[in-house]
Amino acid sequence: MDDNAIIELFYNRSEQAIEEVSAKYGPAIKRIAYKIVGNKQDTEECENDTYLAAWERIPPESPNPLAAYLFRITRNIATKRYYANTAFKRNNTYELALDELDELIRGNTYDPVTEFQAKELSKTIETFLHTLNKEDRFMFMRRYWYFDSVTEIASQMHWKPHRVTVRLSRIRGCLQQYLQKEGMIL
Amino acid sequence: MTKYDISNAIGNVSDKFIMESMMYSSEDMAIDAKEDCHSKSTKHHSFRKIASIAVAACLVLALSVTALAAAGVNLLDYFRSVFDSSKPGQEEVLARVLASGGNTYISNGTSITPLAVISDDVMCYISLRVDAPEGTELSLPEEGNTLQLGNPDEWVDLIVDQKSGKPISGTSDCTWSDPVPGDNSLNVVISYVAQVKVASFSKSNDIRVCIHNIWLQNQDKEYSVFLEGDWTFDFSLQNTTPKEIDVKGLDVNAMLNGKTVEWEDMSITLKDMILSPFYLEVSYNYTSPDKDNVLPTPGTVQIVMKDGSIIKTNMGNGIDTASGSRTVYILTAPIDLSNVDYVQFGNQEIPVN
Repeated sequence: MDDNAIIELFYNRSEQAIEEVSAKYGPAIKRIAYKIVGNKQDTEECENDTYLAAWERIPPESPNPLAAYLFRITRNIATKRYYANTAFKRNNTYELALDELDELIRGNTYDPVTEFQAKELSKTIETFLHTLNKEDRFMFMRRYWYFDSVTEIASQMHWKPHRVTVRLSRIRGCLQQYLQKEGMIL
Repeated sequence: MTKYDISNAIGNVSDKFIMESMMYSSEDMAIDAKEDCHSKSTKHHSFRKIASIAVAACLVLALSVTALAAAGVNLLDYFRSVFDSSKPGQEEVLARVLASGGNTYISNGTSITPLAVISDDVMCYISLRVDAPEGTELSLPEEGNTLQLGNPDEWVDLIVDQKSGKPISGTSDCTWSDPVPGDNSLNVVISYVAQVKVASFSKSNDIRVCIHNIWLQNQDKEYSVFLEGDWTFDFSLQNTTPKEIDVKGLDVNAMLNGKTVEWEDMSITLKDMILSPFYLEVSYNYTSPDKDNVLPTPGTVQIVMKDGSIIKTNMGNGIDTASGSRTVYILTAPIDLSNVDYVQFGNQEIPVN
């Protein structure tokens, strides 16, 4: 079903909206959640929480594109659940990706960022993404937004995993330099 | 600032970056979790999943160039397993030769969906996605074994002319890939080279692709059924006109076993050359002191672009006679003819534009 028709179902408060969202985006939502939380039960709960959040926000919101809107909700819900779950099993893919990002700020102090700084950081990273070619941008987003493993990215791009690893390392180096130039990190 | 702050900041980037990198995720409708995350409504979901894949694929095959761009579809993604890494202008080249037609076909529970078909008068590339019944994991065979779309003992012509029903003579090669390991899908690109001077996709541009079973060939060249079924697709190919290059009478150093030979009675003289986005076809006469055993070859055959990049070639099919050869060289990446500097044919650099 077309996204506009799904939004209309939300606006009409028809429960078919959830069915249609589940059919169209359910597998991708589950995939994003599983990458972060790492287990079936939490994945299903994140999926259901995503549908509930969408039901509560639409209307008045009318997201376009719907996919990115739902995926973003799922990512946020899943990361919160991951850290709130005191009994969590270390999720290698997610934690490995975070550890790679940790390299960028080694040597900096871990002061909490303000809301303003968080927004500025997002804008800066967006501007950085514009400087990348499409291949590099795809790799970066798949690794640090979708939390795909290096092997999964390599498979999608028909590259060898080592090539992806090397390229991601270079991209992180460029991001570090960019953040330093913009004064975001030392 | 912590790594979590950076991760959160990445999470808040614009929707367009999320959508741009969703390409592979949108095709991957199955989770690759180690545990089974499917709900009780799996059967219902799988039917819808196949339907939505079919819609997406039909859109690719029905949309115009501008509509494809607007939909964010990158045609090169469907052919990455057969083409070298992308260069500027290639997506437009593919969009100009995109075929129409083809719907998802389900046989014995396995569906095959055409993703995109591109062609010129000699080459035809058909990108397909194979979805086995839900719950069946499809993976690439172990090294030494290959998946085939034909079996000599149960032969069905892969591509036929729709109007006449006659097969389009040529040679085919299949390149399989598994974008999401662990799920029930595989992708395959059929690379078909029409037999030079015998068949042409310009003359037969309404084609029917017939697949009778997907076979597993083992290291001993024995066949067994990998997926059973019969699938049929009809496509209307674009008409294209290759570029003729003036080469008449040019002499090329003859090579033997990769080394230039200087025997007085061994030579290669070019007759004609045709260049297309997907192939180079060359006809030449040759002399040889021992035509039964010694056939001179030109050596390096490649396309040099205006930006200095090089597109290598692989030898396709051809015709050899007592005194000459006509050979198709398949380009390892599609080219925009207007961006070609010259064809390197052995020691000759032949300007194109």
